[in-house]
Amino acid sequence: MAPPKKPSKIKKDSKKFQKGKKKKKKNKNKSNKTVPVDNKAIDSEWWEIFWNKNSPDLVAVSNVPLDEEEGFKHFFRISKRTFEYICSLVREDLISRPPSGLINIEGRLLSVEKQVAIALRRLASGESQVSVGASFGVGQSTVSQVTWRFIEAMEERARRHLKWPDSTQIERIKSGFESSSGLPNCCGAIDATHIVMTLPAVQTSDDWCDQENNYSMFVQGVVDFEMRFLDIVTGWPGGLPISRLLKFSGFYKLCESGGRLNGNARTLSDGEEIKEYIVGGGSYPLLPWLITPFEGGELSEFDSILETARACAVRAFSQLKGGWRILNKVMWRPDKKKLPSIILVCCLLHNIIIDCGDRLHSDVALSTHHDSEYKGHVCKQVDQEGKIIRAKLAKHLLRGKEKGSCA
Amino acid sequence: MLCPVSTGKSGSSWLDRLRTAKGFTEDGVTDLEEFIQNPNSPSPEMMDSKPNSVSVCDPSRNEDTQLLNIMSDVLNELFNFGDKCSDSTKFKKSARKQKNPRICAFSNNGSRENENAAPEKATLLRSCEKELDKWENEREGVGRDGNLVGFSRTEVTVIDTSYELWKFEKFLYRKKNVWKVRDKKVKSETVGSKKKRKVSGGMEEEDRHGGKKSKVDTKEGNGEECELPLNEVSVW
Repeated sequence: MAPPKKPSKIKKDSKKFQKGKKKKKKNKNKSNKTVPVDNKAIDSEWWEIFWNKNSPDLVAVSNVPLDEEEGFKHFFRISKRTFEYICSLVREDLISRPPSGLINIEGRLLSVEKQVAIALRRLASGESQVSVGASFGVGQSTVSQVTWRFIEAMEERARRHLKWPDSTQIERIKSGFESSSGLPNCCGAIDATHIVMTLPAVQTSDDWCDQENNYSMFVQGVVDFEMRFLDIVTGWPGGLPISRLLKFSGFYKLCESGGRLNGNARTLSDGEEIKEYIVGGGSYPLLPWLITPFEGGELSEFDSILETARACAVRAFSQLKGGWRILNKVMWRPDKKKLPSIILVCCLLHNIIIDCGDRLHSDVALSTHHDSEYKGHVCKQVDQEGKIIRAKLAKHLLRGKEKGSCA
Repeated sequence: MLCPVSTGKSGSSWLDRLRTAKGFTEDGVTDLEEFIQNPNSPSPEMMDSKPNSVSVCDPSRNEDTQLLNIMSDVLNELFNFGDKCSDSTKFKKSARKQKNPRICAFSNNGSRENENAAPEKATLLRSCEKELDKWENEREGVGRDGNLVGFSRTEVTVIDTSYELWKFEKFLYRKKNVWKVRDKKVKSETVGSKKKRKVSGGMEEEDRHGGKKSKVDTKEGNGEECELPLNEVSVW
């Protein structure tokens, strides 16, 4: 006797979520032909319901702004205009179609807007899926599914917001750094932070244990003077020494092979030439293209100039972890294959906010250092060519300062 | 009940028969201990240099050899051993490895991308990829397993925006303060689906940028078991 076919069909439907994008698209096209669904229209109803439920009038102790537009930013970190832009980016991937479409507890298909709002709220607040779900009238599993679908879609569609700048943009970045810190020909600042998580206490988790006895994952970023991420690498365990994290990165390999930071050199006033470089903290090695402070504060004046430029990266990570609180909370046994995607999407959202001209509230960024739990270890690796370049820079900057003070 | 096959030579012992069957002459060493201890015992090849040495077969054991011939013929037909071996004394298990393997021309870049390749070509390519991987591992110095004894292994999914393909998987090996990275072998070797082959291409891309990543370094911290922090967020 032939086995009943119904259960397998149900299984097939549920598996549709797991399958690759191409297949998903195929299914979508198919179902689109058979079941016409009118959810391409922009849904704004969800916000009215959400605002009414969470507005400051109803919540006794609340730091939610009274103004609706500011309230929107408080919950989702972005303006309504940027929200619409993000929806347009991921609409094709998130659009709900029966029978596999996501359905809320009222039995209605979830609009793209509501899905984006759920995912953004989860990333922005770092609250549990249950509590995020409760604020939207959906279940925990819906929050989980919607957030992951959003992350996958963003990973694919928002790439243009995180890429190494072209030569024109680099020139703009260089002049930005020069006017803010005085450093000539500086193309970025590098820093790294730990994303702390819990893992089961089994042997396989040991490699994720860092020097502060936390389980953590690293995210390293190169940022510009506007705190915009230009390059990131994530996924490596937080226990790696910073110097090794750098060496494992594609950025290091490109710089070493001359594939990056290979633009115009700058001739200083004393005739010395300075190639393109980035600045980093003392935990990074001194290299010809990566300038770090002097050991033991030999030249504190130069170090403070360097620190001004490097502070862009420190502030960017504080903003990232403060804006997308999921990264600042201890993640409960995350899927380590998915966590890098979550981190990446938070970086993409961080850049989108800057690109769209949104201004975050001053209280959004972390008030403390982004990696306050971690003591920085000084890297003693010093490249001789790097030493010469640093000396040239110091000479140039200190001479400029002297001239300034004489005038 | 045992039915001993007549050997036609009632006086010969089992040892003599075994020796004859293995190609040793009967006029050699008779004492078993002496035979075992003497490493310079003449080998069958030394005994007879003729290619088809039917002469070693005692005509008096015709029935035995006939039976063996029939058996070996049947086995040859069944398992296709290759050359028909009519003489059991000369029967050798055919070598499993090709004596003169064909040289496999392997292009690292283009061939992996070629999705329209014939299935036979794809199979050949897969086997070549295996060989290439093996060779690359050996080229790193000591063989992979030999080099990483005592290391713990962690699978890491890395996103690095410096590469064209942002996401890739690696194996991270750790032994106290020493960290090493190896490419994760993609399962396409066995499955061979198009999608997985694409992933494999991504790994190649990475290597093209940076070459091998196996390096050793010291680490400040240690990897001891740790207490979990309390302010946890919900399950992902």
